[in-house]
Amino acid sequence: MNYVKLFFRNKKSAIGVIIFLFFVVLAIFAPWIAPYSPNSMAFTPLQGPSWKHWLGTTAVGQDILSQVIWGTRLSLIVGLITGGIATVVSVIIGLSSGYLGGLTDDILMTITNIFLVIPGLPLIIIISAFIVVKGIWTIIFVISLTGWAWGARTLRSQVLTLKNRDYVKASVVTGESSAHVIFSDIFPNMLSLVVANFFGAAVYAVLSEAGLEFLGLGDSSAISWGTILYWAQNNQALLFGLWEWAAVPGLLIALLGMSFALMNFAVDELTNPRLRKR
Amino acid sequence: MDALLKVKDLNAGYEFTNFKTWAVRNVSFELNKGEFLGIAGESGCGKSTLAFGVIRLLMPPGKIFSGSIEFNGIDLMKVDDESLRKMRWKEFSMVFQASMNVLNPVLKVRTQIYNSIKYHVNMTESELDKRAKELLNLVNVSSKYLDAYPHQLSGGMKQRVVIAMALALNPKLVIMDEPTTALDVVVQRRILQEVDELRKQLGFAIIFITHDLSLLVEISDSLAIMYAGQIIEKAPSEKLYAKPLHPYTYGLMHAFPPLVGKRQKLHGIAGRPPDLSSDIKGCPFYPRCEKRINGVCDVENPKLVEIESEHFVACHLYDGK
Amino acid sequence: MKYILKRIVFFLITLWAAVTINFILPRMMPGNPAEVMIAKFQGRLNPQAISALEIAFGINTHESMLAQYWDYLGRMVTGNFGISVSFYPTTVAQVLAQAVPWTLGLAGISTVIAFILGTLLGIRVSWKRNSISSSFAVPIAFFLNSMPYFWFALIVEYVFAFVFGWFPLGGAYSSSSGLSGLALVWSVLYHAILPAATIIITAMGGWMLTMRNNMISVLSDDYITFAFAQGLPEREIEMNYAARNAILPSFTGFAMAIGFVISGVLLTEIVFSYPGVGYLLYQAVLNIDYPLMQAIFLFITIAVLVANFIADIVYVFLDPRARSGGE
Repeated sequence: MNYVKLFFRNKKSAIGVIIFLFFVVLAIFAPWIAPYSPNSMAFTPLQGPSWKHWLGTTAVGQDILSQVIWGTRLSLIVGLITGGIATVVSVIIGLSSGYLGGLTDDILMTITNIFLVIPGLPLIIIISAFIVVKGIWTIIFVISLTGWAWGARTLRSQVLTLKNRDYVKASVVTGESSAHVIFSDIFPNMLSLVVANFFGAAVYAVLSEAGLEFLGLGDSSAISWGTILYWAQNNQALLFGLWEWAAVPGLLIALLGMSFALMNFAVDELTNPRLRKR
Repeated sequence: MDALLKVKDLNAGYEFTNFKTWAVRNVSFELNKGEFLGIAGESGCGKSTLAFGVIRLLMPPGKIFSGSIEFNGIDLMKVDDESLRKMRWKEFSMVFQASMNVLNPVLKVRTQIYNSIKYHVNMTESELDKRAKELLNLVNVSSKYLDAYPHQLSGGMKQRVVIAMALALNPKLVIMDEPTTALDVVVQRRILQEVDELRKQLGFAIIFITHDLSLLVEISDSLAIMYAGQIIEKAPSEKLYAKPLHPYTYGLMHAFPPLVGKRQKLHGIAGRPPDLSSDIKGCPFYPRCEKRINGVCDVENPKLVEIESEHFVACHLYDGK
Repeated sequence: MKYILKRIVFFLITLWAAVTINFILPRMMPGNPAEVMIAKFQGRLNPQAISALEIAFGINTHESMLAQYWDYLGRMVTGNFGISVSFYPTTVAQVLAQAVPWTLGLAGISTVIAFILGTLLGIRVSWKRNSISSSFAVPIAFFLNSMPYFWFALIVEYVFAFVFGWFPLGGAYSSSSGLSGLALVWSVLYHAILPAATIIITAMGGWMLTMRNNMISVLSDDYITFAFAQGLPEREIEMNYAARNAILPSFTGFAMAIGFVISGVLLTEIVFSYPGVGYLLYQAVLNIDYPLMQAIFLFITIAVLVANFIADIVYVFLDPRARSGGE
């Protein structure tokens, strides 16, 4: 497809892809890149940055740089998987709602609008508070549950537009099955929107995960950027003047979020000719 | 006769980052005061670009590359933005192709008519009200629609409102870019006749752009035929209609059914107009022309020359080559 | 007015959904987590309070689920949210009432400011699309928009309150007693500046990007070219033709945007120990105070619904097409 080429030529997506690839490399090669084990508590606690520990050490004597590098894995995985699940849900709901119409549409859209309006973070917080066993999958589940609604709504309106195109009408008239119409005539034409939605949902996931971990509602023994921030805050890192402890993981969250957001916008720009830079 | 608009060697088009479309190519023509000039051609031949270009209304990426435009003795290419803004609507106005969508959906008809007037002349609220009613009256729309929003009007009514707005300041020139294409044929004709009556009554000149030549022959004073960004034939309407010289004009004339007269077989023109982002060698109509002269027409682009009095044509069949 | 009626029905359905989520959650989780809470506070609560909690969370009861649900709905309608276990014996309603004004003040004012500033910036940036300031503003907005709110709050607090000492580290007013009148007002404002600035800056980026995209879309509409053809002044076209139309999608997309802003407000309050609903929610989570958590969730949902309802009404005023039926 021509769009793939344009995607890499677009300045926004190019920057987004570069940042994203940087994190992928960091995540995959964490064991080789990180100077120490992220769990080792062998160092003097609460040290500022030094040549030995570029970002200093935690309250229990862990190397923060190593934790930040390893933390990339969890943040990236949560972002991608949650983005993926939320996108699948929005595609299913959006497609069936838009294609089937009628009562199904009314019911699904009411549910979607309810999920859209009920504030995400507070819902995530109370659900997590009720879940006793915490782990990465609970986080993924809870964030996916609250992150699909916007996508479902935009995809539905796209289906409605596509449904009225001549070639889709032609397929329906010639008696193609619903499945055929949906998967060969409609879905391929909304692929870019689905991709944009995936990036949007991934931003939401990365930020929500960080917020959840920061509040201590995640698995605080796991190593992610959110939990590093949680421990930094709990040990009053900033008041001890250990600002790198909190600044760096937050900055990385922002960068990862931004890379998804840039790719999202780029896809939008490429497929919506009005937004294209003249 | 006095020339109102003199266009000379106008080149215009659209500039993108990696390519450029050259939609108007070396176009020159003159328009007299009060004249009705029709410009016809297939879609994509540069008619609209020409229409927007002569009043410097091409929005980016649209651009005038070169040429001169003289309006009522003023060089339009040299006036600054603010003077140009002041000239607009007062000196020349325009009715758009997609007139259905040119009204601002969130403002009342009244506000939009007021706006088109009040930024050019000082009028009190009651004068504005009087003028707005007058204008709607002129185009046969009830003045109760002044307080309606655009979505509450029918397509034909929106069109009339836009025409009324175009006449608000008694401009010397009104450009109409396919103003009636979205309407049905009967309404099209009626609006066109009304516009022509208004022209005779108020004395403004009209440049009327259309792809439907049959719409114009009965009304316009003169006709220009555009092809691939160039004017390839221009003559007073009766002359052109009686005796089309360019093979393209001939083809175009037989592409639409006449509204009156006996039924006849329609002939389309085979092929498509050339891509305007590329350079064209020879006559642009060469690949589609039934009367082409190999070795001549594919080598040199013919110039627009006056074959008979007031009848211009750009074709090697007539320039003696 | 059919439109407004539809919104009211939706308002009620969503409210019902939020209440039902509150009912289902503790009953759905394996091993009923509410039991853990009750066990933890056993010694500090009197038997009456414990049985009230057991009823609220459906523990040790022989009532059918439906009967429990009916009772529950009845309690919600009468505003009986039970007793807060962490602030025992104060009722949840009383605890919440203490926090609500702070959040409404902080969130309400900063959201409105952020919306206005972001929208104006979006208009400017798209109108002067090729200027230098526009090419800087867009990437900055991207960054601000993808930042974790609480992290930005931490940094702001560290720099302006801790390093420079210009502002207080937290709280809503000075704890030194005897403040009254203007001094108290000033103290409240002074404490609100940093949290408000945090919310405004982070929320602004999102509104700006939305408005910019809407504007760019609208700018290629025919009525804009037509307005130029009429020789209207640029300012008039920018505001009454372009922006006036471009702002409409900002109102229809309000639901999602306000959700993000609320999340930001909650986390900002927590970082600045600002005694509003967000900070209270944090304390409720730390103390496993389920009744309080549920009430806060309900309150936030209602607040968002009201904000959305206001946005819907403003939308009806701004878009004549919504007024005459249809959406």
